Amino acid sequence: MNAEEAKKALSVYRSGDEVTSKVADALAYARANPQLTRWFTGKESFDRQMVDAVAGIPVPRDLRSRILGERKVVVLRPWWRQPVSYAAAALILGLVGLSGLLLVAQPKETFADYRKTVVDESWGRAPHLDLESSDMDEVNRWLAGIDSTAAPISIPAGLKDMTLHGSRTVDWKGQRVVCLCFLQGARHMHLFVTQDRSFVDAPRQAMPDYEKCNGWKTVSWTQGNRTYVLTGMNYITFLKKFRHSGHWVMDS
Amino acid sequence: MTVDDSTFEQIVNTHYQGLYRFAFTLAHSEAPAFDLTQETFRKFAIKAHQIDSASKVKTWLFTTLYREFIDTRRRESRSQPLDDTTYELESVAEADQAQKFDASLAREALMKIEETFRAPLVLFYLQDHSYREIAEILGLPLGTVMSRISRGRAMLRELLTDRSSSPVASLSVAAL
Repeated sequence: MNAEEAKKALSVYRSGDEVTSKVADALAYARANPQLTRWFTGKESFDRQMVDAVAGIPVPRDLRSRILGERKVVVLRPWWRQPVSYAAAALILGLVGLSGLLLVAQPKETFADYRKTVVDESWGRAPHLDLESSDMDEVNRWLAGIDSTAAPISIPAGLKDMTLHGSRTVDWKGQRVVCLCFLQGARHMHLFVTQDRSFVDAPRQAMPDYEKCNGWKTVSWTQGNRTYVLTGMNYITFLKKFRHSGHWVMDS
Repeated sequence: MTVDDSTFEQIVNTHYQGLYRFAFTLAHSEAPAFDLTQETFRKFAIKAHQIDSASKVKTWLFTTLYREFIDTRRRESRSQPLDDTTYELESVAEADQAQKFDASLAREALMKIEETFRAPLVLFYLQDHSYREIAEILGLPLGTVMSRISRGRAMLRELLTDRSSSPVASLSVAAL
């Protein structure tokens, strides 16, 4: 082993790692070579300081409690992995069967269906807008022309600095859904707004629900009586815009 | 694997700080790091049953966080491939000084390193991952991970040496 080989072996060695025969040889070589010993001591000292520096990155106090709190809401265990008795499983199956019958008799609106429909509509038509305008007042006037009883739409706070590109409407089960298109560079983002729906699986108030839908990332949330679905964004951009210091900021 | 509330809490306790620190060095600020960490555990809560062994949890968590970060980044900028398959060793003269520096200065320098090198370096300095695990988390060959850690360390040293006389400047690979 020469100095260069010893240095190469030691450069990737970290105190506490397994000492392979190659590292052992390199350490032995270094002990007999003062210059290499100095280099290795300097490297070890540098690494120790960097370990301390990384370990010193402060972690927000409420992060742990928020993670644990969120689990209570999001955890979705497959039923077959839960410690239920066969009797309970049979009961659940029975209820599922009964629910199925009830669903056939009286179809309910599901948010998952709604989201799939609007995302399909969102990216499946060309041209994708009925009105091109960067003026929200003009968009609201245009929307009022279609449905004079509808309340004007306001842009959620986190999207107000985006460039509005235009709008269109989508019909879902007889009710108008408004689509607003925003531009961020070359990226198009579509925000679907519907109100007064009673989805059985609606996203929670001001708490976004992330889901991939037909290959598109979506974020959905409810604010007041409105339900929003945003597609086309990237999640980091969304988080930066709507989350500050661990709190969601999405009020209109 | 089955994850009950108590196991989940134990896993959070073990990994949330390391994950947050990794996320912070990737995202550069608190809010996205907070959310990346939270999102990683949210996915874990949903998909834990797909992990076949408790020994794979740590790597799964870090891989998930990194992919979530990269996935969003990739859309914004094209990654620039680097030819870093060979080691670039520091010269003995550069490295034999036992540098002392402030931890905040070290973190500042770390943030200036290109992400390509920063990610393996941070995982290395978190001291909780073997090279093989780092390679798995980042989806890189083992040799590339070793090379990037070695080169990243050299960049850090240079930045911290420069810092003693001038503000930390962004360092590119070409500068080495």
